[in-house]
Amino acid sequence: MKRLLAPLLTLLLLAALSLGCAARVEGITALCCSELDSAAALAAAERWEAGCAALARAQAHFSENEGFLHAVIKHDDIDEAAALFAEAASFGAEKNAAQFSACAAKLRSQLRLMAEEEALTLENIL
Amino acid sequence: MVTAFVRTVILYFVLMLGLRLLGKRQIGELEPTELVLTLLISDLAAVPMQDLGIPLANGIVPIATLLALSLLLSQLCLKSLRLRRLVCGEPSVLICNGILQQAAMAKNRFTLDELFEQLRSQGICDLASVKYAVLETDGELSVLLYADQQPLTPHQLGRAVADEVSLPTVFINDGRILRENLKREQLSPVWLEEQLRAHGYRSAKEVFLLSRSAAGKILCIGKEGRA
Repeated sequence: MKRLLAPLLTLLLLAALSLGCAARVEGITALCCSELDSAAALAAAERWEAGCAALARAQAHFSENEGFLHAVIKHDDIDEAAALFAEAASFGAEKNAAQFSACAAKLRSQLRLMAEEEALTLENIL
Repeated sequence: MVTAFVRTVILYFVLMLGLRLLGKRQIGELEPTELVLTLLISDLAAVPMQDLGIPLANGIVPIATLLALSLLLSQLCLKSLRLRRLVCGEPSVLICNGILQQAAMAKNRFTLDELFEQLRSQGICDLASVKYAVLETDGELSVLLYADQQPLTPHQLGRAVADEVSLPTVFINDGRILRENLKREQLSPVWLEEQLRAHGYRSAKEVFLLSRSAAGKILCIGKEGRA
């Protein structure tokens, strides 16, 4: 029985680690998406300062967790998200509502894709 | 480039540690499950080595999972005969009492050509000299010849011979003194120095191998190119 414990515990640990990582990615991307929603809404209402601040908060949160994300998610996806953040910030600075909104939408999709890739779903398994 | 280098080093040691934990059987003859495991983990290790955009964890986690599963399965196989049969299969007797078991050969998709090939590789050309041939679970063919086809043993001749078969104890391995072996044989470093002097060496560093058989015979081989 003791000899079974080591591999069983290893498997449980790996499963817990994987699920934990998926949960953390979901948390990070959910917070970023929520700030992006606020930023898009504020930009649409021409409240650019608040909108850019919301975008900056989302970008800061993403940057704080970039190390962890690089360890868990494909680097291309993270680079894509980082590029979209920069693009959105530049549209925000230019007060270009249409482009800002489109960019924010693309960024939300990208973040949701990152979270979905890590989630334990039947679609992912198949 | 440096990332590829570091990842390769990490993955190499992860694989080594994993295979080491699985034991000697993994490195020797492979059962079907072990073959699958070896193929899979080598492929899994190659992916993050070559594609630097993939996180290292994407290689390590599957490898660790496979190793843990393999260990778990092998422990369960130890406990359950039924599971062992299911996972590893059973050996099949292809020749029994000199008679070719054609049904067993068909069941294992083992052709006559393969049988002759395996027999020839073991130095057997005459099928009639084989009493038993067993196809093991790792694909090896174990062959037992009729007694009159095998070399005579002293036991069969009714002769008593001294049992000189023993495992030698190594005291110097490539210049390094194995002190635990000296201790186990209750020998002192002084004895070792005497042996070195008797064989014309000044220090252990000049010696490639120094061992002693159970009968007390010393084998001493110096390093090549020593001064």
